[in-house]
Amino acid sequence: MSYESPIRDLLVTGGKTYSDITTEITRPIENKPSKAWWLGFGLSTIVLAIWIFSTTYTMVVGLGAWGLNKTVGWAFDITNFVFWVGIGHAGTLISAVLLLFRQKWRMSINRSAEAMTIFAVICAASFILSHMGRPWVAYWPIPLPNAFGSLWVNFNSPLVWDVFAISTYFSVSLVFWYVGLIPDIATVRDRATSKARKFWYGFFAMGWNGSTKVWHRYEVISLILAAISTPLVLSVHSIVSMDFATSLVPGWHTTIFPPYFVAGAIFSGFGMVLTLLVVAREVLNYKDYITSEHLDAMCRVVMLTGTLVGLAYITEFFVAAYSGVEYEQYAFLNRAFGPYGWSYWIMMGCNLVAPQVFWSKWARTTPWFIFIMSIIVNIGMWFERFVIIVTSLHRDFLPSSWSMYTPTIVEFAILLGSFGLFFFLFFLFMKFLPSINMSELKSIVKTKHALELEKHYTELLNNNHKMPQHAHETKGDSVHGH
Amino acid sequence: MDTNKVILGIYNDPDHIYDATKKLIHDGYRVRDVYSPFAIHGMDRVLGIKRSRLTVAAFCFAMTGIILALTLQTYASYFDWQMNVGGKPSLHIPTYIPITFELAILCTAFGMVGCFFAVNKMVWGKNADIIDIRVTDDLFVVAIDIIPNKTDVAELSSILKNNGAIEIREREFED
Amino acid sequence: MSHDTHIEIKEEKYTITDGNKKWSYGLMIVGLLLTILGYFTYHPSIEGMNLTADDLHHLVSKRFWGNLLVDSYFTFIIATCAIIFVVISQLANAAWYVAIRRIPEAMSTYMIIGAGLLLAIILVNFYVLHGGIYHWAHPGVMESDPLLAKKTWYLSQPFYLVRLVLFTAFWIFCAAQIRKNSRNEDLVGGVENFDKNFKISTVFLVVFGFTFSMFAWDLMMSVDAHWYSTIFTIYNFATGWVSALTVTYLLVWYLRGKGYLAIVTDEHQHDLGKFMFAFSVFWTYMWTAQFLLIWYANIPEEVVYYEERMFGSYQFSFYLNIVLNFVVPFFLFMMRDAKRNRKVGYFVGGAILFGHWNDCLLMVMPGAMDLPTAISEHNPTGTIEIPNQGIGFMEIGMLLFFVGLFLIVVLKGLTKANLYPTRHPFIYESAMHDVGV
Repeated sequence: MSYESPIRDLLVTGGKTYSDITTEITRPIENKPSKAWWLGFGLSTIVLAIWIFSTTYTMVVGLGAWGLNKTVGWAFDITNFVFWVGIGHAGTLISAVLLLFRQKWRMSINRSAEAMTIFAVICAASFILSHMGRPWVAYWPIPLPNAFGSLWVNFNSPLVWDVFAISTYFSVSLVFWYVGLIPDIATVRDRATSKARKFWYGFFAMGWNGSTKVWHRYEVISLILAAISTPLVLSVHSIVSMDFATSLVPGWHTTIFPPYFVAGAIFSGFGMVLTLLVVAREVLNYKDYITSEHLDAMCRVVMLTGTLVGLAYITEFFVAAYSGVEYEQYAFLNRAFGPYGWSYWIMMGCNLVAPQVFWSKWARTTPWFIFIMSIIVNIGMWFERFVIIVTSLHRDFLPSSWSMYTPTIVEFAILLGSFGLFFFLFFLFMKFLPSINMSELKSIVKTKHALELEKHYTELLNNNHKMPQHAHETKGDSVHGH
Repeated sequence: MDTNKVILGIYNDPDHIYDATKKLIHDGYRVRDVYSPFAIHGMDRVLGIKRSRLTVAAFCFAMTGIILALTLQTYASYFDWQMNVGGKPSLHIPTYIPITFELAILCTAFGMVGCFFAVNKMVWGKNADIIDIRVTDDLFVVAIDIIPNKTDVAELSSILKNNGAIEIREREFED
Repeated sequence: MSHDTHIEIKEEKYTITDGNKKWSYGLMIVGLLLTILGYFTYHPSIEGMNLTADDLHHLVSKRFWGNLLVDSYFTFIIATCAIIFVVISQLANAAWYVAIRRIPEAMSTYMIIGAGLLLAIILVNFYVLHGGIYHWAHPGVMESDPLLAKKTWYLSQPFYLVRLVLFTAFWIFCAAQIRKNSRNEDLVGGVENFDKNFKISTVFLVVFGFTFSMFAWDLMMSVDAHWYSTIFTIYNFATGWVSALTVTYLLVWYLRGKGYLAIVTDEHQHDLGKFMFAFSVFWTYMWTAQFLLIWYANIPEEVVYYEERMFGSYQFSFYLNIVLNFVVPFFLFMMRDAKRNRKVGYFVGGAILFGHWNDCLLMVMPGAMDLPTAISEHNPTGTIEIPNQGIGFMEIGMLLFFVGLFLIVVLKGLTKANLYPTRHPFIYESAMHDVGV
């Protein structure tokens, strides 16, 4: 444990020892699940059933079960897809970008955020599959030599890029997550009392023995994985944005889309992380690990990214006005004041205005309030995608094909059901895997030596003004108060 | 290895084991390895572990991915079967950027993690040879080779003890 | 390593050497001479067109003012992004940068000169040259050009000047406050100044985010007044940011070579190098996002921007841009040891700075170097593009002049405070900074 400035807030409170951390974080795995867990798990299973039913219904009936029409050919399903992919971005951001920037507060939250990433990408993929209408031929976008002559996929198409981006993102996130889990799985293995647990955790621990040589290589690959995941996470949502931005549709074709989608994705992802963690820290009693400092830091990120997204909205609006192109101008006026104007103002309110409450320290550290805010952020970001997709499509270049889009109950059911899928997986994760990265957390527990150093250097810092300060003698009016 | 007997010094503070290992190496003992529940900052340098060449592997895998992706795309969309979609040229280099990038990342991640497992001899279902079961929980263990007729066990033990070892014992490796 | 370090924080002051003066003023004089040489040796010609003496005068003046804008803008955004680096690091509670923080702070002292120059350039262009390099500011253009006529609400000369003055004044004010608090901290210690700077940084960053957008549109994007791109601001920010990091990196090497900055180690140098690497990739991402989308959609009014740059006489600069700003830093700075090596560092740093200067040149010159003609069906924008004259005496001369000016201002800025903060709450943490694996 190296020296840290004493003005930094503790990231693990309650004077935890190494073994406290092990015991408390493995508790949900080693004990029977609580009532709260059963309740949550049961509920999400019911909602998952809705998802299974409505998706199956769509498969059987066909896409006619949805409210799509000739003009609005993309609506709910793509909104949901982009929404879920966006949610997924916070996990990699926390584990990769914050690792590179040495933000230690990430250590208590990266595991669950990464899990969230993986489950969110699964949800997103489910929408890709179901919107194909014929999911049994879902392998067609993969460039395989096929039975229809020498036809290949169209590499010029951003949709094909998306196939590569999403599948790379999913598999690399999974690998990153798994590598991070190995030392902790080994911890569970070494504490296991039952045969089954010994076997399964032993199986996945891959013979981890905690040797320094292995730790060294582990640190090296963590760093490289972080270094490649960072551009990956940027690329994924950029490519998603290019599904829209490479087109000629006003409101879609704008160069700011890639970074703006990424900022939005981080924003919505942090919203979801907050939703999950505010509840998890209560239920699992992890308040010493996910402290109010962590909530504070996450809220700051939400505020920052919310403002960035807002800046992008305003930029788009401004440049549309500046461009002098009528199509562009109309697209944006229609967004704000057209028939779907209400959704635009929900988006603005939830994403740009609402996060500004986080300027207040109280708002950043009050869990119930953060929970409400995180839901608002989620709603806002869902509407952002809805606004982009539906308002740009429903007013075509030809007024004769102008139309409105109304979702059907099946579409609502699939959206609702996807939350069931997400939480179902998340509850399983909470039960079977350590939801906080124990080995990393142990490395920031302050040792005796670190505390001594802290004391020593604090004294030095306070005594520095007693040193002769020739350079400042001329400034007689400067503050020399004490 | 001319010996398979080691002496284990068990610690409960990472700073103690760090100082102890440093002293042992300075005094010329052969430290086999140090085991810990987390990466002790700087311990790799104390043990003289050379910086891992996994970074080089990562670079090679990235290049493989790039070449693979470019070959696939140019072959499929230019040499094998040209398609006219929206009048775009078939050899459309800038649109190859996204897929090339993604495949580079994919190959790097899988290749490098594969190498990591291989070099550590880690495999699913492997029976771990754990030096002490508490090493994944809260204890730190340093293993020093006992070279017959050379290592003074008593002196070694006293160094370990003086640096705060909470337990000292001998163990044999099976290799 | 924390276990065996003994850190001593001493007050260090920089004194300007005769060598510094000789080099800076020398560069400025040589630059000035080259510029004058370039000014009088520039004789443009266009195939199939007889240029009048008036045309020639216009062109040489545009080349001169265009270059001046490029260099003033480039140095100004470097200075501004330097203070933004301090601001962001402060807000992120970073510790590692504290030991080198006085260098970007000193760089920000150039802001006032840069802003003054920009204001002067704009004033001369608007009111002496009747528009000069800004096509839209020429008398009568806004009324007769159907597209520009729709932009009068934004592109008006007084409004433009008000924006320029207000924004730069606010940034300069914030930067000065941050520097003042930072210096005070050395005297009184404690966290009071740290907290003050935290607050200023918050406000500064938010305001900067919104105002820099308009700043970049005004100065750079409105040179090509018909064209627009929403990512333009972020792209410009990336350019300034990576250049500011590079200048910091180079100055840290220089100062350490002279025996200053006792607490700064290769670890800090390495992290700055990592930042240069990462943000070169970031810049490339922005570049690709803008290029790929415009090129892919192929909408005539947008793609004309790249048409001018990719295929005419700017082709070399266009590809040089990618080589210097992406290929060089990416491949040379990938290795850990490269970032810790002075010679490689100087080479890559130089390449990045030259590359981003070239980037700014590419943003301005094709739009600035044109001859106004009558609007016709054949020529809807009412301009004739003039072939690039390459990077000639004037470009190099002006660049050298600005390098000299920037250096002397920044080195003077360095003398005004201790070379590293002595009582910053994170100073010991920064001194013990260790990159790790």
